[in-house]
Amino acid sequence: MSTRALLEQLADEGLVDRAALDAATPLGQRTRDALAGLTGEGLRLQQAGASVSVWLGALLLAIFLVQMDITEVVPLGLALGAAGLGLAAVLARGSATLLELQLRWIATIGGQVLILASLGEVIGDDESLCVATLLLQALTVWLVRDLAIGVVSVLVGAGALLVLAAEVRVEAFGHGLLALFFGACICALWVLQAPLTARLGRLWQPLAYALPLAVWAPITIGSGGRHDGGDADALPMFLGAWAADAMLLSAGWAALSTWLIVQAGRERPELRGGAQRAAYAGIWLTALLGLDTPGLSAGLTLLLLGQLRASLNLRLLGLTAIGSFLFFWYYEHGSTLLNKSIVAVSHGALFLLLAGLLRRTADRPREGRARPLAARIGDLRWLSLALGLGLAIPGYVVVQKEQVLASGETVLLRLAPVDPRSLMQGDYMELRYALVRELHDVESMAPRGVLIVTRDLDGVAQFVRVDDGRPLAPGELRLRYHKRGSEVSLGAETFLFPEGEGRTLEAARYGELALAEAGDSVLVGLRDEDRRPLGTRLHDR
Amino acid sequence: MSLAPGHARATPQPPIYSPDCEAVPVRCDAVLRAPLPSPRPGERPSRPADRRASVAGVTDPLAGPPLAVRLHALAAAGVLDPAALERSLELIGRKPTADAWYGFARFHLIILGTVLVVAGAIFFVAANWDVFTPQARIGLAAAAMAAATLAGGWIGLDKLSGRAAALAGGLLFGPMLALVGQVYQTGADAFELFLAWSVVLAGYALATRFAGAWITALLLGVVTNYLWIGQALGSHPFESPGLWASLAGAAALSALALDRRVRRGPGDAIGLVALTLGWCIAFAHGAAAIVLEGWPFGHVVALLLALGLPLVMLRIGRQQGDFGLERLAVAQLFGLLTVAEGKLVFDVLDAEIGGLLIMGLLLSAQGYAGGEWFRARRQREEDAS
Repeated sequence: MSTRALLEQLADEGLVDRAALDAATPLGQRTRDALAGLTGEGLRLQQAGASVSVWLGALLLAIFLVQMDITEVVPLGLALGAAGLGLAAVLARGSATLLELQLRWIATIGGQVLILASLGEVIGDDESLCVATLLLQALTVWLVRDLAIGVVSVLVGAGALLVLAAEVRVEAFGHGLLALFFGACICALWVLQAPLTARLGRLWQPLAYALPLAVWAPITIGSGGRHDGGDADALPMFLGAWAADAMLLSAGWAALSTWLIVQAGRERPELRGGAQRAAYAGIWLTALLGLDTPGLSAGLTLLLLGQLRASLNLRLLGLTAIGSFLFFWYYEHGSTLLNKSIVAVSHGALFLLLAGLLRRTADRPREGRARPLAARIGDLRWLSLALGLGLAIPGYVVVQKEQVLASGETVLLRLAPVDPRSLMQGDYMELRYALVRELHDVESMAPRGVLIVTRDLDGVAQFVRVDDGRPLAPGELRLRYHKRGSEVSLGAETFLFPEGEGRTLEAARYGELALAEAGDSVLVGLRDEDRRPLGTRLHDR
Repeated sequence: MSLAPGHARATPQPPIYSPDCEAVPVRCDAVLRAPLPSPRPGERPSRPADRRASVAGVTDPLAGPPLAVRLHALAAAGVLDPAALERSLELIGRKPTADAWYGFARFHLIILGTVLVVAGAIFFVAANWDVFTPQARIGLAAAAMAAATLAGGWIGLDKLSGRAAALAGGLLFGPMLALVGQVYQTGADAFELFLAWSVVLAGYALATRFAGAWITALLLGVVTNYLWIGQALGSHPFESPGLWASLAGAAALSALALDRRVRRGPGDAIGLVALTLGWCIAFAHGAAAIVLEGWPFGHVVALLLALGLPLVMLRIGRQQGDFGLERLAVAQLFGLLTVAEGKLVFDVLDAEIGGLLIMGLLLSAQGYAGGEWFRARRQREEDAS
């Protein structure tokens, strides 16, 4: 179906004046003007004209002018910048060639940089510059009738608003509120798209297309952030000092999602009833379980909006927001990993439960008949093989390490710790052993080998030699090593500890190893300067 | 990227072009479909160029498909009133049916539920909670993995819920191995953990025939490679011997991606992920080779790979009519050209402020050349389709 055929159908239904199809009438001309930049060739041009090369080129040209100190003469800089924006506005009237389209971008970017750099000469503080940037973007959207430039201007404006919020130190709750405000605008723009497009005119498209991208950053990074006065050990559903803030944000996102479901029921009356009620329950339970995680609720809102408006891009953005929120949330230290685990599992279990309920209660064809038992047993056979492999690998490691723990001698190694967070194993200390510094001529050592050590009266290891095959003297022990480039590893360079024990373990001065006869070792724990064990001990020896 | 529904898919157009106007960048629907007058005796038949000239500048904006972005523009211009916009969006399928809502809800509830449960398991392991004994923790993790895997097999791998459960079993292997590493202090982020996880997940992918499992295994494989470079080789991806491992990874990913692209087309998700990863790594190595001082042998190879890959992509793209592949190849070549220009202007010629002007002009010219190529090539692509 072409746009013309669609308009003809709408005209047949009495929804559009047939004059829109006739280029000779004013309405027909307006129709063609509205679509001028959106024909196949127009869209191709937009894609061809808006390349990173053009953007970078324009930026470098503008920086060149700034570096030439043109903006130090403020009126000149402002005049040149205004001329750039004016040129872009003129070029954006009517259809354009590729060169004209690229010139639009160059003039817009150049004009904006010159104006902002000139204003920077007279405006002292960053907050005012953010406000100026915001106003400049509004002016650009109004002046330059180009959809792509409008979208980027809205994005830059939203970015300026976020920076402004950071400058005035609105804290995590303020960022959360800003994200919620963006979310409310996005939902309003898309849910009420028909009346709002008529009311906002050409402003609607850049706002509706760009704001969902702008909301991604505060959802992902800000919404998981907690509240300095909060009790990091409190369970998320307990009411602490921070709970009112988080509850407000979670309730806000849940309210937006509820609005979307109400709208879905309005547009598809067959969704009303049980399905709608189940959706409300799911949304509010998600909010309740995730008082600590408005970011998750926000991602779900975008996902629902994407479905309501059948937009794959919005759905993908919602999923991306949820995924990246989970990633950043892991590294955020405001709440304990145990709390986060409870929140994530309870959400996951809730979703799976709802999926099951949906399947049972919905009046829909099932995914197909159950496969015959033989086929399922076939599946199980292959899965069992994979499972067997998956259980055998850790099983082998456990047996090997338990043997070392059972028969090994206790040796202390002097160390110097530092402390980051692992990709998936939680908090850990990075250990450096003093003994390694005693090794001379590391380059000539074999990539893998054995060190010979003895213990002093306190059980602290002393380096004797690199193993050369000679039999061990009384009191000597073997300790395996392998080289990583020019560094020597003893196989236990990190110590993973329970969350919250970091402070206690700051006093660590020795690593306690169980050392088997062949030189294999297991790091058992850490000890302080007086060689007293620190923190939780997993292995009693 | 804009979020206009349908904007990104704006390219496929109905075949409204006449074969004669393949190089004409305008719509020529009505004019070219009209029969041309027969040449009079002794008169030359009109050449395609004449016909192009006769239609130059003629455009019918109503000829294209009614994308949402076009309907929004018509509504913004006041051509469509709110009721007409609602109706038109419904006509082009922008109002999901009850069945579509059901499918959406079920798919996302299962996938998000699985992801969140696995994420929760990872968080739990990372918390290193000392209430349970080490043996109990490992036993719990093993039991969860076994239960999810067997439940997947029992539900049936032909069903989304069965595949998701089985995949969760494979994913839970990671937390379990992490737990073993935690209890016996085998090292944080040890490459062995990720290697074992990617191998086991590949086994699950074979069993479940689930693209998501293959993609996860692929991503874990890439993480393993870089952890191995740092931990086992004690090296860095941009210096030998780590450089060779990184280049080998990029070459393998690219080969896998191109093979799948040729056999299964551009929509293949595994090929797409492999292509993205291979492209990024090769580009990073090419750019580093240009920027670094001197020409160590490894970096010559890196540059050759970074230049060779887009050439192969261009060739395959042309053979297969895969415009997306060609675009990626040209983007890589242009990106490397930009880095080389920057090196020449700012490093070799040491042009400071003047360099900004030169680079700005060069990039603008480059953008124009790239834009013209894109426009011409894309039009041929659309005409062919």
